[in-house]
Amino acid sequence: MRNAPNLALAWKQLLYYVLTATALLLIWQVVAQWIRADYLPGPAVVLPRLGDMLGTPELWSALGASLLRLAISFGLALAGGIALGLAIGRVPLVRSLVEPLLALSYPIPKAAILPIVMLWFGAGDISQVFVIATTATLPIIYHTADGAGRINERLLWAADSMGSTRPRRLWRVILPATLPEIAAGSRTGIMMGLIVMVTAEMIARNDGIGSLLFIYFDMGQNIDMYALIVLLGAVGLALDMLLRWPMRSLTHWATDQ
Amino acid sequence: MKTSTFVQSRWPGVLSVLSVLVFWEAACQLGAIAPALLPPPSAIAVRALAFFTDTHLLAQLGITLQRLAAGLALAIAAGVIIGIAASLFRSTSKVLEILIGLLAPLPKIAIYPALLLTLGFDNAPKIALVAIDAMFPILIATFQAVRLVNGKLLWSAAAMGTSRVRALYKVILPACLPSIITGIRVGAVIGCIVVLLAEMLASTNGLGHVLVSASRSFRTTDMFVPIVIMSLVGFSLDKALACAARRAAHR
Repeated sequence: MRNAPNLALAWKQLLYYVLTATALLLIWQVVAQWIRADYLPGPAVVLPRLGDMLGTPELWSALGASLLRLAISFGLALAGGIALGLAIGRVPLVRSLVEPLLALSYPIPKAAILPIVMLWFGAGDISQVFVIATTATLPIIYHTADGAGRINERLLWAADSMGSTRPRRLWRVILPATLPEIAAGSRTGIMMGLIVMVTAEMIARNDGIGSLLFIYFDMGQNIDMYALIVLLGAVGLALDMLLRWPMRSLTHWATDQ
Repeated sequence: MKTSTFVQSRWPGVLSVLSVLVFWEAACQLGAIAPALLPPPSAIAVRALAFFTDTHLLAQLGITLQRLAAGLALAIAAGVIIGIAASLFRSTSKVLEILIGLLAPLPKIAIYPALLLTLGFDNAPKIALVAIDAMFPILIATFQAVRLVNGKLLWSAAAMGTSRVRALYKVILPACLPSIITGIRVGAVIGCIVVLLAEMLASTNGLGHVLVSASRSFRTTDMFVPIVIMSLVGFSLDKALACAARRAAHR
């Protein structure tokens, strides 16, 4: 793996993060105590409540439903995004055919089309997966196409001259050379997917953390609501970190990371 | 790379967009798709044009655009000021770097119910959500751009007797402007999306509410109109800012 100073640096970085997060929680607590209102409970009551909620099946089934949808959507987005991105990056005709369609779809508010998609696929998982996967695919396509389009042509010539077949060249040269960009696209994709996941659940009001968040909001269970917000923040951070580490080791040979 | 001029021209793109529209229209006209599920593009276009003669709908657009403008203005002010101020010192830049690492990955939409509780149900929570969501790309772009400003520019300015504050206006800000505008581009498109979502989740007016009420009464074509309008707003903002960024870079 990596050398020791880097590891020490990573721990130091983690320590900074923990310290800063603690400072933010302290500020929240001070503000909450200063305002003293039902609508802003402090972390001193919210965090223990989150601990209690983590012991209930209600929370886990909501979190499970959410994360399962996100995982399925991300899997679909990865498969579709890498395939389409490589095609756009390597085949000029595909690029000129598909790029304008992508440019047009960029400003469309994806989560907002959920009510329309629900007419097609119902209020269940399929509609939400459709919207989350569509959102997460776009950055993966962009980054993959960008990376595949900028591959050093000499690598391809070298592979050709050594008698590499087309599929083998794709698998052994183009895909690895594009990996750092695919990694960057995946991170953006999963973060956007998480945002759309929460939003879609808030709109569909079916199941999942986003739906539960608005149920608590409607019922006036403010402490529970803030506990879920903290939980969603932790999920966002965890996903960000989770995708940072394996991607770094997968692409450690890339120069400008 | 050897490519024909046709492939590199804009015609394949025009062709593909047109063929998607023609295919969609034909599928609807031939009865392959029920118009109640997916109306033909012609019907959506007619309804979208009618939008601009309907004073009630135009008023809703006005409300949404006001919220968007207020949110973006706050995001730009906060993003640029914090980004520049923090990068002036090593310690503050380190703190901001950690804060960005910690706060940028949070799904901001999750705090919307908390904003509704603390700020009420009127304009404030929507503006706040737009501001928070749009601020991060602007802040990150500003922060990175300021740190990359060529040291030589600053040294020569200092050598010619420019004060630190004056150098901020005369050197740092112009040098960073193209990157800042690029950050604003990203933020503006995010803002367009977020304002619509915020209105869909809790509002009695605005385009998002138009969309939700159309969906409650299953008026499918009407559901497309707010989305088309907001996409157009996002698209034009993005293009206008891209143009502004090019101008700023050429100065």
